[in-house]
Amino acid sequence: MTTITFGDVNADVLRTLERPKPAYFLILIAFITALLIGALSWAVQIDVGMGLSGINHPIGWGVYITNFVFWIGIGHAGTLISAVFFLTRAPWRAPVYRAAEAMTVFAVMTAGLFPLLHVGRVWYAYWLIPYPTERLLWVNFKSPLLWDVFAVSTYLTISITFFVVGLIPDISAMRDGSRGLRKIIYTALAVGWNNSFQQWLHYMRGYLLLAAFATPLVFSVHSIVSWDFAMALLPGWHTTIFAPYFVAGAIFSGLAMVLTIVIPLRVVFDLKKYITDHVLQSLARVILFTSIIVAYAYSTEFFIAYYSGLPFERALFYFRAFGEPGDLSPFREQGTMGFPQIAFFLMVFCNCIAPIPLWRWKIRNNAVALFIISILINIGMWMERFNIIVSSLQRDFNPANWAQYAPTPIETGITLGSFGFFFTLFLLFIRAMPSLAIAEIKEGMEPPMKYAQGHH
Amino acid sequence: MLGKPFRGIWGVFTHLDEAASVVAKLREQGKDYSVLAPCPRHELHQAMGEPLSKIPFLTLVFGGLGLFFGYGFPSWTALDWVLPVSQKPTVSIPAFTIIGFELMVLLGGVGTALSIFALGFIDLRRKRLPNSQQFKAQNRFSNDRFGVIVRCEEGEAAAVESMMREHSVEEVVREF
Repeated sequence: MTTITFGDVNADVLRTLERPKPAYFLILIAFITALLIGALSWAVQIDVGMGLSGINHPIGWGVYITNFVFWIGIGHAGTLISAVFFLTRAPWRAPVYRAAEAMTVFAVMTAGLFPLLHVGRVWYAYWLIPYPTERLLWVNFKSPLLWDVFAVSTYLTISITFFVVGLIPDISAMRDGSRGLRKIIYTALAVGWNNSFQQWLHYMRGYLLLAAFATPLVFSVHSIVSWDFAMALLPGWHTTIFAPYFVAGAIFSGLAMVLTIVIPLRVVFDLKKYITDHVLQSLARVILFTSIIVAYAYSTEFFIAYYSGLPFERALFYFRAFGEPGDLSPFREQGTMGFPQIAFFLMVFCNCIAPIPLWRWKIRNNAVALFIISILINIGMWMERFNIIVSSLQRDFNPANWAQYAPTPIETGITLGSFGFFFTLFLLFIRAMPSLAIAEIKEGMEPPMKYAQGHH
Repeated sequence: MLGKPFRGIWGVFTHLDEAASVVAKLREQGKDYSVLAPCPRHELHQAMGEPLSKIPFLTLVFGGLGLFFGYGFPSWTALDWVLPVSQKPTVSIPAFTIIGFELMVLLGGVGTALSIFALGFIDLRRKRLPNSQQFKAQNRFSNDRFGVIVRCEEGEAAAVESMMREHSVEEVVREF
């Protein structure tokens, strides 16, 4: 086994900031194109109006809120890895936590766009913030939607804070290893960090406390997002299982996105000696565990709908899976299988069946298989959000309200744009900043000793 | 400029255990020193006598402020414009607990982060590092070297240098 020294870590991370291969620029152009499609779609929607989206009475929440919940969920893995696994001292977290944290920040930024997109008149978005007005009106602090404003903005701020605090010592290492314009930029960004032990002392204690603050945030944010639905009385939404169900799903989808990102990262930048197979296997184990929780939550939802005896709940859950009664019978009398039902079967396949091969060590040890499974999980989790949000709105208590919904081209363009926005930011990040946590990797390594043996 | 300019001696160490031994001896002798390291190491922390940081106290203050505003502000706005909803209380503690929790985390987290850098800056003013070109050119403290900096008078420098040399110092520089 190759021994890695402190110097090797700096050299290897500095190497990731050198001019990348042409493939990098091709991928970047593809994502920028997706971003531009999204920006154009939004511009058209602002110009023409919300009629271009498929949302209408009674389906007031469609793809935009689906994307919001999906991207918030993606963000969870970064904080889980950087805070929860820091407190539990998981040794495999160090090589992936920087990429995961960056992913969190960019995912929550992407999610934050969707409430703005959804309200239509984005220039009035500041009405969400409590501020003194001439009418002396305040926002309603008892509304779950306002809880969401506070939860998501706090989550974004704390994620950025955590990310920046972790980056600064590594930026100082970049400063000391670079020249010219890069050195000037890194010197400014390092805010006077000089590696003195007094700084490390405050840093260690502060980082521990930040992790302690961020840990309940991981579990609270998606719980609060789930209460946007659970506080309503609609069949399929009004359920106490939503908070843990959403949190497990968020961790599940977020960790899958971490795999989607770090598997190409370790190949492109030749970081296999840091992001080892053991790291990928550990991520796969947590994914497998959360997959079981998610599958259990799906079955519990259906069982409770049946067991409750409530006709509205029973009908809704039948509709979620199979559409109108009769759709699957040979005597199709009314309605058709719509997009929410397709989403349901994709959700079950991608989230419950596709992760089953992870029980095998050989699959967990195969980066290509992990990459494919991670993509399937990402698709499955988007479908899950869509199915939960749209199907309940399609079928409320009053049949006169019932309606169909499918995403319009504008909504599809904006969804594509959100992926473009997220991956463009991430690709620019790995080009400009250390994508591995230099100081923390060193902390877990055998230090240079003349006589004594180091301790971990 | 605040504080006195640096006068003393500094050494560069390749090995952590050697640097830690020097630090332990300097502490025993009551010298005014600083240590530079590429990452936090408990060996150095122990050698320095495990000094404490004031960060937890500041976190408590900022977190407490957040909690106060998180309950106080929604309660005040609810009383400022009373919006009766069935028999529900005007000041709803369960609903405001979410705002209280979020603001506690927000202010506590941001306050902690700011405190890390503010306290580091204050320490740097109190315990000045060398300002020479030679020190600035030494850029391996963020890479793979450990630095021990001793603020002392010219007469004490020989003894400190000799102690550093006993512990395989790679480079020693006097600045007076």
